[in-house]
Amino acid sequence: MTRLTMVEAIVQGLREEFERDERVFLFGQDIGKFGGPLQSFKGLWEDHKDSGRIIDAPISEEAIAAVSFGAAMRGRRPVFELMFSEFTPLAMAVFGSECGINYKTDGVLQAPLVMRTKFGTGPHRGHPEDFHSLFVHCPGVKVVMPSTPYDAKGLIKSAIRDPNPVVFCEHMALLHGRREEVPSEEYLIPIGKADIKRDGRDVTVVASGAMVQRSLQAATALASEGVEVEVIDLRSISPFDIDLILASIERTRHLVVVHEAWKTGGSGGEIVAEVAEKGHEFLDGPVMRVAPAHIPIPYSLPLEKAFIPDQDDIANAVRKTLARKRVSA
Amino acid sequence: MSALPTAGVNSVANELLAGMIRGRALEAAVKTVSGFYHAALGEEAVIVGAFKALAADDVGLPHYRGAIVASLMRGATSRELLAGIVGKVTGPTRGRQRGDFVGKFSDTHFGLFSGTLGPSIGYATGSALAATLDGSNVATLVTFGDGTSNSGLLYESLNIASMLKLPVVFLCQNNQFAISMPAEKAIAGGALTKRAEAFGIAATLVDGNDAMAVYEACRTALAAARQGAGPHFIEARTYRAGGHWVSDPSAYRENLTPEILSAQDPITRLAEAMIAGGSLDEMALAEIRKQADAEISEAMALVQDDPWPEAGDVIATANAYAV
Repeated sequence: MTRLTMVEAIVQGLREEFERDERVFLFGQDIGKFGGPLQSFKGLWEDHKDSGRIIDAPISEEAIAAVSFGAAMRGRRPVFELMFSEFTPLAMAVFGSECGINYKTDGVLQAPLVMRTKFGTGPHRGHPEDFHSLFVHCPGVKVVMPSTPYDAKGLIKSAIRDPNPVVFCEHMALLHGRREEVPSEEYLIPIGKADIKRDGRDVTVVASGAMVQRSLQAATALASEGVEVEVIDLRSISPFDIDLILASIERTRHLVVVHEAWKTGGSGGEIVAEVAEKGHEFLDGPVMRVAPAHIPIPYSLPLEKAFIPDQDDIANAVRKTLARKRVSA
Repeated sequence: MSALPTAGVNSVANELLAGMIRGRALEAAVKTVSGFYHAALGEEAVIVGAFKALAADDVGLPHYRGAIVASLMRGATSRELLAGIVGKVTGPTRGRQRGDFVGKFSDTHFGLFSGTLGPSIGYATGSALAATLDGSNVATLVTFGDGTSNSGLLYESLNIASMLKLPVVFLCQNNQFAISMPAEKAIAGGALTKRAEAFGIAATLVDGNDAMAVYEACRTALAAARQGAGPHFIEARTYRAGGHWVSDPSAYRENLTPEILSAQDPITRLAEAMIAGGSLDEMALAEIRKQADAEISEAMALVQDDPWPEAGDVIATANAYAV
C-alpha cells in the first residue's frame, strides 16, 4: 500500500500488465525516454526499453490507431496513446470503420486494445476538450473514466485485459492531484460497474471524471441544508451501470447527471434517456443535466471557470429538482 | 482448388488461370443478385496473382474490389461467399456483415470493416508490427485501389512501416478510376512508386494484367519482407473493365470497344501465352471454364435455398462486445 497520484497508479497498473503479459505493447508519441506526456509512462522505458514493446510513434494519430487495431487482430494487446482527447477525432475513421469487429466477424476476430487519452480543464491550460461521447456512439467500444487513483489502477488493468477496444479517459486535473492509498497487490475494477462514492437518501447525482469531486463538494454543502445527496461515480461510461442508477433513484426519487463534456450530444443524455425509459415511475422531480454550454471551451480563466460546471452549479441543480417535485396523484 | 486440372508444365500458371476463371464466374453470379456489386472484371490478374503469392500463414487484406476472389484463393468456398453477398445464414458471418468487403474472415484474411477506405492499410501495418514483435516469419500483404492511394492513412502507414522496417507489402490495384476520377488526374506527380520511394521504401511497377508478373513481384517482395528487408510497394496497373458498380452507366469515360477490352483481358492473355507455350490447349481451357461454371451454379442454387438468419438475440446490444 502506497499513496499514489492517479498517474502513478495508472503507470503502476500498466507496468503490472506489461510485465505479466508479453502480448502487451505500448505505442504513442513521446512515450519512450521522454516518459510520456504528463509522465504518463514514467519509468517504463528505463526498465523495459530492451523489450522492444515500447514504441515511440510519429505524429500520425490515424495510423497509430489503425496500426494498433491491426496488431490487436493479430493477437497483440496494444495500449496506444493519442495524448489528448482533442486529437481523438483523428482516430474516428478507424473507430467508425471497425465499429464492432467482434460482431462484424461473428466472433472470428477481436480487437483487444486500449486507447489512452487525456482531457479536462486544469493546471495545464491546454487540450481540455472532452470528446469521449463520440466513442460512446460506436458499437463494440467501451469507454471508461476513472476519478480516483484506486479506481484508475484497477480500471487500466481491466481495460488491458478486456477483449474489446477500450477508450481510457484521464482527466488532467486529477492525474497529478490528490494522492490515495493504492494496494500494490493485484486487483481489478470491473468495466461496466459504477461506484457509490457517497450515500444519500434525497437525490442521486451521477458524475464522472473531475465532476465526481465537485459533486462530493456540492453534497457536503447541501448536507448543511439537510439535503443528503448520493454521489455515483460512473467510472464506466459505455457500457454504463444502469442497474445501480435505477436502484439509487428508486430510493432517492431524484436524478442529476453531471459531466464536463458538452451537454449537447453528451453521454449524460443517454443516461437520462435510459432512466426515462426504464425508471420513469421512480422519479418525483425533473431530471437535471449539469454540463457545459454548446460553445467552444473559452480560454481566459474567468471565462473557462464560468464554462465548466462547479459545485454551485451542481448544488443548484439538486435544489431545482427537489423544488419541483411532482405532485402525486 | 482441388477440382483443377493438374496437367501442364506450369502449375502456378495453371492455378492462376483457374483462379481467375473461377473468380470471374463467381462475380458473374453475384451480378445476377446485386446490381450494386463492385466487380473486379478485368482486374483478376492483380487479385489472383497477389493472393496466390501468400504463404498459408501470411496475412492478406484485400481491396474491396475483388475481395471475394481473394477469399476464394485463400480457401473460402463459393457457396459461403455467395451466401455472404445475399445475406443468408450460411454466409461467413451468418448475415452480420456484408459479404463483399472481405469475403470470409479469418485471422489471416481480413481488411475493410466498412466502406471507409484507408484503415485496412493501417491494419496491415499493425499486422506486420505484430509479426515483428512475435518474432514470427509471417508477412502481410494489403491491396487497395488508386482511389485509396490518396488517403492520408497510406502515407502515415508507409512512414511507420519504413521507420520500423516492417514485413508488409503495399499493393496498389490501380484500375485507373476512383469511381469516376481518372487516376492520371488524381495522382499528382505521376507514378505512385515515386511516392513510396520518398519514404525509403523499395517500389515496383508491374503490369497488372499479367498474372504471372504480379505473382512474381509479390512473391519476391513477400520473401524479402520475411528476410527482414522491410516493406515493399507495388503498383499494379490494370483496368476496370466495368463500372464502379455493376449498373453504373460509366458516363464519365469514353466507351471501350469489346476488342480493346478483350486484347488486354488478363484471362485471355494468360491463356493465350500458355497455349503458345504448349502448357495448355483449347480443350483443357474449356474444361477449366466448364468446371468453374458448374461449381458456381451449383453453389448459387444451394444459396437460393439456404435459410435467412433469424433476428433473435443477434440484434441485442450485448452481442457487439466480445466476452
